[in-house]
Amino acid sequence: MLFKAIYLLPLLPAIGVLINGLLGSRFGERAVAFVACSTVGISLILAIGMLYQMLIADPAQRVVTSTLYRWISDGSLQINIGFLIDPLAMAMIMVILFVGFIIHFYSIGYMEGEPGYRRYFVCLNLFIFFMLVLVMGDNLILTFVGWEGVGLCSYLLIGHWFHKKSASDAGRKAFVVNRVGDFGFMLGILLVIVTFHTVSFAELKTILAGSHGIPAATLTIIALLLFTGAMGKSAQFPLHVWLPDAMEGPTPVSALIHAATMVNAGVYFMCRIFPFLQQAPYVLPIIAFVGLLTAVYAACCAVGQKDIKKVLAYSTISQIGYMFMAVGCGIYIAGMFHLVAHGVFKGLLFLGSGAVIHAVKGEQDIANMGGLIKTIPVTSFTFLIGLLALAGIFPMAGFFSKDAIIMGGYERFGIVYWLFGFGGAVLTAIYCGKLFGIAFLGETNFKGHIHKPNFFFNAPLVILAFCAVVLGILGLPMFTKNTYFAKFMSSSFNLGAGGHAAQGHGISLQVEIILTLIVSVFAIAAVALALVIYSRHRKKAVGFEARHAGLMTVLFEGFLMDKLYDTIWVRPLKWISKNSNEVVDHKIVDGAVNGTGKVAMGTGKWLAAMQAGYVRHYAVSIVFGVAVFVGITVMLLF
Amino acid sequence: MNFVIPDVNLISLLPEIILLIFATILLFVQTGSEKKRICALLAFIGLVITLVMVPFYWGKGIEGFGGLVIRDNFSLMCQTMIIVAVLLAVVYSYQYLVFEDKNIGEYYALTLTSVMGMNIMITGTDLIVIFLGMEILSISLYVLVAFFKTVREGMEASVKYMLLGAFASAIFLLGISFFYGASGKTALNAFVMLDGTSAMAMPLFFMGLSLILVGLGFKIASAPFHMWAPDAYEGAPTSVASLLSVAPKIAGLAVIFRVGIGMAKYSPEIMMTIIAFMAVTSMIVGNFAALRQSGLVRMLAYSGIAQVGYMLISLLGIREGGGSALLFYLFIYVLMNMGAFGIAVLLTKEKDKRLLIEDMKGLAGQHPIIAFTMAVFLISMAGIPPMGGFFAKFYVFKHGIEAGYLWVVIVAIITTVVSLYYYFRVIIVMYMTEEEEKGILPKHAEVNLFNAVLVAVALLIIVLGVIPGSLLEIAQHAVAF
Repeated sequence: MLFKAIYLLPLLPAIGVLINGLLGSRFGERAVAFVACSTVGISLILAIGMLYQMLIADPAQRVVTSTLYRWISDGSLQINIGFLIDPLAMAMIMVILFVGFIIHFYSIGYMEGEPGYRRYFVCLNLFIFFMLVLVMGDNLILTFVGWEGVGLCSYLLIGHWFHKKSASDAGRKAFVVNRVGDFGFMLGILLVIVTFHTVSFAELKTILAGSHGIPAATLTIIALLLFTGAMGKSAQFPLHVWLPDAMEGPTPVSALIHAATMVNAGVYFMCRIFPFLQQAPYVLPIIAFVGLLTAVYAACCAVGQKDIKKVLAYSTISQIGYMFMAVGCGIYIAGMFHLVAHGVFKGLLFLGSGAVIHAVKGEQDIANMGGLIKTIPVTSFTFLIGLLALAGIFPMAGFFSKDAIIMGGYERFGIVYWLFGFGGAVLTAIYCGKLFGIAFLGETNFKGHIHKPNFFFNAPLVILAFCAVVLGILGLPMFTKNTYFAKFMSSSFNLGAGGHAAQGHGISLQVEIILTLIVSVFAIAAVALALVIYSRHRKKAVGFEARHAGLMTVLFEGFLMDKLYDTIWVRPLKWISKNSNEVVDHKIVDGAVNGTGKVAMGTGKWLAAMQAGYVRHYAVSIVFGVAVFVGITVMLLF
Repeated sequence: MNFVIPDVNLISLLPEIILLIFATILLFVQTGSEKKRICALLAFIGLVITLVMVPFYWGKGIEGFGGLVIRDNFSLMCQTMIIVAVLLAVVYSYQYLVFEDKNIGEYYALTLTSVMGMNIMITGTDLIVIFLGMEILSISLYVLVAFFKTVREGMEASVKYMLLGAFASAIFLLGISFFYGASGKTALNAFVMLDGTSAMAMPLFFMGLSLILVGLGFKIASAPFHMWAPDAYEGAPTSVASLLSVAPKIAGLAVIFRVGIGMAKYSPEIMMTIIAFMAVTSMIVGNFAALRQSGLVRMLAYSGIAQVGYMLISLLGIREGGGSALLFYLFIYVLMNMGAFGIAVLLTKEKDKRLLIEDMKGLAGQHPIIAFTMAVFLISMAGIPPMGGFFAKFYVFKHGIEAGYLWVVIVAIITTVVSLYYYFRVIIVMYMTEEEEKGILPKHAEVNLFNAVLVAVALLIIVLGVIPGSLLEIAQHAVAF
């Protein structure tokens, strides 16, 4: 059985880290890349084998656990190093390893000749390792280890070009904002430990399925705290501000970490702890609201962006918002389907943008591109496929996945919620059309020689584009809850006796088809319109934007969230820290610390001075000890 | 009165007999630099044989000499740790004895007899047997400390150590005689008799107990009986200091554990208060005095005093299975302390020159692997995850709190914070300072086997920090009577 070798999945990338990290200084670039890619590649092959075995297995036997050893044991609390693979984890593993492998491959060409080539691949492998630990861990603590590990890798990779100040600043910002979320996450874990005395997902699920007698308020607080962590990691409003800046990292990193895998960890985690969400009454609507807000907000911001990667970054935030909408509506499977589809097409888009940036020698402003379809056709067409999938155009994967979410929103929360979701979808279509219209169509604005992308660029793009088209099959048959994907995933989400599925209004097939058609038609129209406007009538469009410069700035700056944070957090903190540096630190703390240090050092000096070297002094010390012991004996006896 | 010949079961003392045979053979090896390798090898083989025997004894609880000696799991676990420590010390000695050509056979013979003494201490169930073991150990060590006859500090340290050791032994013996007077026996399981003895015997009994603890406190270098330790460690050859700083502490703590187990049923407050006093003073004295030290070995000596304080905390919870925490801590302590002393051995340039912490400047730049292993040992001693020292402290503190000695644990945590200063000072010196002079390491230090041993020890510490479970289970098994 392949499942006996579960631990090999994360182990192999870890071996890659060790080989490249310890011995890599003697390797050439190709050898480093070969080690990094092959370890992930073998893991991918193993994972595909496991996926196959899981598919032919009976749905009830699709949950596999494997415990390596007991890590910490403290009374009733046992924490194992163990892995849990069920369809939910399997879907994530496939995204991580498949997209991860392709991006490893792509990086061979992209990073060629860059300084820090080995460091880059070590971090990339380390990231795959931690990401697998995150999704495969069978308990909260192990997941948390992976959670922090990917955060670390993200920090290292965003700041890969650390001599660039903006890059190291962006890395730090990502780190700090994530700490806010992780603080909630940690509190949540602690509360789980205190309440349940276990951190194992399987045991928690069993406890929650029975009559546990734990008040709903406690469950609500736990769920909200854990959701805070998910918000940080998955860049949900208002903790999203780090993600656009994270684009300072190399583009393959943006594709892997900030589009396909890590930022989706929050969605995965919410699905993993869905028994909590089901029993915590107010949490699901809160998640649904945060998701919707983020989806629409980020889509607006994306329209106003000028940098090709920033458009995609905001679009990622927006799409993850859709995933959280799905979670909030209780249709976890639809959320996971969108996660998988998004992982593929957003990975494709980022890799495509990387190829474009490489072709135009580091230019990222879309206004300076234009007409690229004539010079780099493969990149352009695959990019177009990715954009169509993002905009949710039939028959791309994004159409099926997003439609299910918007429909689920209607079913659960009614027409107003649907309208906003629909509006977000239209906005998505608009910025997709705008991006392609400006950058790839019309006359070219780029003066200079264009680098033709080579095999390392094109092969990954074509593979991902193919997947972005055919993945939609998983969403068939439409308009039912029994899609192929849902059938596969169902064993992860079967509720115990005490659970209950999400309740909807129950809508008829006709309504569903009509609403889907409305969304589709509007999306297609929006894409087409934006395409035409920004390619044929670019001057007019630019003029229109110039007349509404204020609005565009607001959109460009992400509704001035950074400024807001600067005002309410950064500046007061700077002020406080400046003052505390002068007053509190120098006078009070330094005084106290130095005082303590002086006392400690003084004690040490005194003790050392007692050690004068005379035997008689030493003997006196022994006599003193005898006296104390006898004294204790006498005191306690009488 | 008819005399019953006790049931002499020589199997129970087979490891000691083997050690004695090897020690005797070593005495006959002619001295000379070309024989160094043979001597080290003989000592090594003798130790490995006794180590290999441990699994065969495991779980059998073989008794000998009418119950005077018992090889239960606890003593086997201690024996394993002692032999591991001494094996490392033999490796260090082989490295270190480039300075000396004379009497190498005697050096290793004395090392083996000291192991024999410690083994007798940990297997003995009778105070007289334990005293015998203690004296075999002590006399071997007195000579070893003064092994470099031309080094004045070594001679001085040896004399001091011997005088104070004799003093402590006398107190220990006085304690035994009180004990005998109160209970009529010298066996540690004589506490059974207590119920029948008169009320007058009780004060005498406890007085004897506290004096016995003084003698043992001296052996484990716990405050306020610690003062010999820094001088002796610094004066002794560094390889002997490494042995001195680890192995006798294992034996002494094992005896205290046996006494405590015997006491556990009868008003243990007196013993627990004495142990708490020793623990607190050791932690305070050790950690604070270490702050001021400029010599590496001296700093490690005070750190060792502090570590003993932490280990004593586990004995406060002796009735709640604190012994497992003690064994866990001891095992980690063996690794990290022997590791740090190994670095000291490696860096010592001349036999009569003190190694200063300042001398380690820029070590990381020139010898990254050695600096890294040293960092692992120090971080583990400071009790920071993911090193084994973290879990060692964690379990000890846990048992201390469960036994109701929260205030002791609070002192322990505060002094741990203090200890960060002097442990990290070394790391800072190694990593943060520019390399000033080339070639910190003396020429003889370019031995790859030695480095490999250090790396292995460091890796083991990390592994035990990541996977502490199995060692803890063995330890729990060993203290389950």
